[in-house]
Amino acid sequence: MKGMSTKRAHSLYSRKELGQFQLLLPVVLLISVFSAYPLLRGIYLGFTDYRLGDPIVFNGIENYLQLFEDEFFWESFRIGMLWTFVVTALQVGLGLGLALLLNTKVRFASFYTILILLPWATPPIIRGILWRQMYEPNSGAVNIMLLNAGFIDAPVNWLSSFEYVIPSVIIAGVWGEISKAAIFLLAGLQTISHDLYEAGTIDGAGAWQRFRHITLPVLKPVLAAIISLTFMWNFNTFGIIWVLTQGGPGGMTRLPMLAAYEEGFRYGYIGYAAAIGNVMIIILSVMLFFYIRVQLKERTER
Amino acid sequence: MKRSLTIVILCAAFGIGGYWWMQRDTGLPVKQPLRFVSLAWQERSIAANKEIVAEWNAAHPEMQVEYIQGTWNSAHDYLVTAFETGDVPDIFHYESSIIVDYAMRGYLTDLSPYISPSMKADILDVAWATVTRPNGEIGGVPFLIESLVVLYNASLFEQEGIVPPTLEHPWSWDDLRAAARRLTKDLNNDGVTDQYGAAFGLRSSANIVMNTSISFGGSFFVNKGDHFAVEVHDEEKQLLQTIVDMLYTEKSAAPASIGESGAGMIPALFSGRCAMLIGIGAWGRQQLMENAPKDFRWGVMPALKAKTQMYGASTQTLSVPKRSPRPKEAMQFIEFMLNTQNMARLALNDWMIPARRSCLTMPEFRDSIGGWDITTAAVATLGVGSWLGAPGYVEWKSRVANPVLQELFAGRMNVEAAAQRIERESNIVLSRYRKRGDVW
Repeated sequence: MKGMSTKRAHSLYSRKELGQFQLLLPVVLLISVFSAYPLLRGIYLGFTDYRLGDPIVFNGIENYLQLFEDEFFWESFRIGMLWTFVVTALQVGLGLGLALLLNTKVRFASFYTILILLPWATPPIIRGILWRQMYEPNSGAVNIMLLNAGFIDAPVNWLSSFEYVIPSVIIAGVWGEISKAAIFLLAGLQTISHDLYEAGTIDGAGAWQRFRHITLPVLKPVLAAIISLTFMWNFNTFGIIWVLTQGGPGGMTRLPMLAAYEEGFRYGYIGYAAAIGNVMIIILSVMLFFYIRVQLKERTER
Repeated sequence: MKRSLTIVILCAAFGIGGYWWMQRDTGLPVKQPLRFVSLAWQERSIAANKEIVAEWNAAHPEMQVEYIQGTWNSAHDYLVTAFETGDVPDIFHYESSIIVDYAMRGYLTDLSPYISPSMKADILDVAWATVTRPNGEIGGVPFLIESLVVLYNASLFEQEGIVPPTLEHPWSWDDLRAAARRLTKDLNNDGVTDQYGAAFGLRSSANIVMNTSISFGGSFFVNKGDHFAVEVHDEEKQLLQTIVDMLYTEKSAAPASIGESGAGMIPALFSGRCAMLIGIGAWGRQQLMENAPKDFRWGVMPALKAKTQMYGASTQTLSVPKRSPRPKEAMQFIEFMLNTQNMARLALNDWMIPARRSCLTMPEFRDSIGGWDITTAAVATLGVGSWLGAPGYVEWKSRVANPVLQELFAGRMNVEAAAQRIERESNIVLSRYRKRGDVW
């Protein structure tokens, strides 16, 4: 058996290639069992009416027709878009600011780098718990600070208030991921040769002009990458919101992923939940496709 | 290369061999223990559960039970996954409103053939009603009755000269509102109220609102024969309007009620920031016994009287999944776990009403210390909500009722608008289940 397969392999591949294939085999197996199969099955389930406890029956595009009219879903989609755009903009914007700061010759720069990495190294669930404690109405740090400073006269329940919940979760969401953007952008910044800036200064460019005409163009590919990644990541946010508000109050923070989770696990509509997942993949792909195409076009035009 | 292939094969062989070794039938009569998932969370209640399991194990070496600690937050995810994969516990602890949903989906063993006649007769009918389908199938054995109570600060009542209600002379909602107004005070005259007469836990208020509505004659769910519909009439609106008035017109209910759970408002009761906490589970008394400041004096009020004193009940239950291979043995353990003596232990340590008549006559449950006498007196006026067994109720509660009530109590809409929204959105949710042909 064994001899036979090696013999056949001889004729098809060189010894070396076969060795490489063997090395890859465990990984390929793991990926197909734990990634590819669940992914494909998830996509398939999106075309069935599978509900927990019922048999799985293929129902074509019925889920998508239903989804199209589902006002609960579109409301959560609207919230998801707001969340994604605001959080991504803030993360990348503030991350760029931090990166620029760290790129100047501050003392202990590496110490600060580690410091800003910490929140990112914390899992989203833990970040959520931290922020929930910060926002706790009676003993949370946020209320105590604001009360002592005299900005508010009574404790505010940040996460249950319709007015404040969105800004509150956005702050918590932005906080954890700024460092990711900052580190990527810092790496980008460090590739810019100092000569460019010197040349710019000699030509009489001010700080803003140097940023606008030297830093930004060089950083553009990194920016494009980090924006796309952050965008996808934020669109798929689940953990931190789940811990902070579970989608409340009144569904104000029910992001699409939460909606899908609730459909699938709370109410048992697995097929429908999978359909939401499929739609989100398509929406994300389309948006990123256009974004990246614009980026590439600009680069080739330059 | 040959060597690497040998290693791969050897690893596989060991893996399969090891698996077989663990799975092999040893031929010995030692069985896998029955797995019991408990959701007890108060410290003393966990201890009581574990003690009872240990006593069972000492007496039944041939049928051991393994205690597994679950949590309320993840119980649903865990159980649904277990039902689907077949890796189920043999006995699990949960709550009647979800149990009926599981029963409808066919996840549970019908326990009616296994329950002993003595147990059947001893447990209150209203408790059985929370877990029984119209065709007689029983999804679980109820053992703790969840009821809502009103807790009050006895010292503040005395200071104000308010005589608390008694079982013979219960309060109406008007009495309660009048007392709440008198107890609402600006103690240091700075123009800000420091002491509110009342507080609620309104973060997820569907439970409180639905169960309390029954005393106003409200029902929300109307059984239309082949399906359920949600209707919000004056009876349902009365309670909503009462709470809104207390929050915004009379300003006698603490605004913090809006975003807090009942348990979250207990510190406000301790510190005197509110004089009454309305609609908290009876288990809340345990927190008062254990965590209240030394000089804190408190009491439990008898059920408030609207049209009636009838309140909706739900129960905590022990059930057996359909895929458990040993339902008979599981039920044997449940009979022991929930015999009169053990059910009394569980109820006392969880500060809830036991479901057996034989427990309720015990002196412990008639004591005035801890408000047991008034709490357990409520069993006389417990009823079952019309929503029991309505397909989609669980989804309705979290998708429609809780969010709309949150908006209402946050002052973002009036009662009329909330009623309309509940009716409209309910139709969307319930029609999904009608399409599926789910029946209770």
